[in-house]
Amino acid sequence: MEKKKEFWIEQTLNSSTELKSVPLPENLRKKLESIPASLDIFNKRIPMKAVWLAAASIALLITVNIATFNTSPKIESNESTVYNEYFSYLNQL
Amino acid sequence: MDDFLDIEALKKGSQSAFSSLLSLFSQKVYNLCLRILQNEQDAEDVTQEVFTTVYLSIHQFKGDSKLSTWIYRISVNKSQEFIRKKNRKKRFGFGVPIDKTESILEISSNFMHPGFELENQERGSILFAAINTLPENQKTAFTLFNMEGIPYEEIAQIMNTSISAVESLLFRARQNLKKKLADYYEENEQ
Repeated sequence: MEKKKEFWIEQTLNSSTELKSVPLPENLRKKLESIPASLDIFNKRIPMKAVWLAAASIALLITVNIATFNTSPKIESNESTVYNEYFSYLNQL
Repeated sequence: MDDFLDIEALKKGSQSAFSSLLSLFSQKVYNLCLRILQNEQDAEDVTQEVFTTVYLSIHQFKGDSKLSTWIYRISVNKSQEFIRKKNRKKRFGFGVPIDKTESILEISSNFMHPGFELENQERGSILFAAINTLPENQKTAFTLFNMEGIPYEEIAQIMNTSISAVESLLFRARQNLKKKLADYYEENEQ
């Protein structure tokens, strides 16, 4: 029994070496052949210079926004300030 | 095999050099992906990804190893990445636990590799289900050695490890497979 099991296991393990190569599907072959053309079209449509220019513009815009936000004076608009101003106005009357 | 290829022309983006590359490697890459991924559609997608990467990064190939080794390394990495992504999706989608299932019986491997003879299809399906339970590195080493017939030295280069580590991975893979197949035999064949 044990020998039969061992034999079955060995046969199953060795079946991996009997695996035959599968031919490439025709549709995949066509897709692979078209890789250079499709990538070249992308490169020709959008020049890398334009991509870098756009990226630099966006980075500049973000930097300017952050700088402006940090340097502009903060406006106090909380409720207590409004009440204080109102009461000092009443006191003046 | 690499001698037949004009790598410099490939680096310059030559269409005919790329066609030569495809005729030498496309079937090998597709078969390797199919054996690792065990799904024909996934193997097609990953093969396409592999050759897109090869085309875009051929200028990074310095010739330290054989071109075939470099392409196999990309294929293995892309296939492993694909499996990890797929497993992540499954886990989040259906609440599958992180731990791998240990028994072959619990795995729904209906994959019938078209490369097996008809009389070996069932045996092959059991073997693939067992291989699927192995840790990633053991699975890759076993596939490269037993199914692709790649020597230890090249497997070590593909997997970026030492020859002794490959030997150890293969030994452990075989031991694990024997154990899993024995469990399967006891539950089914008796």
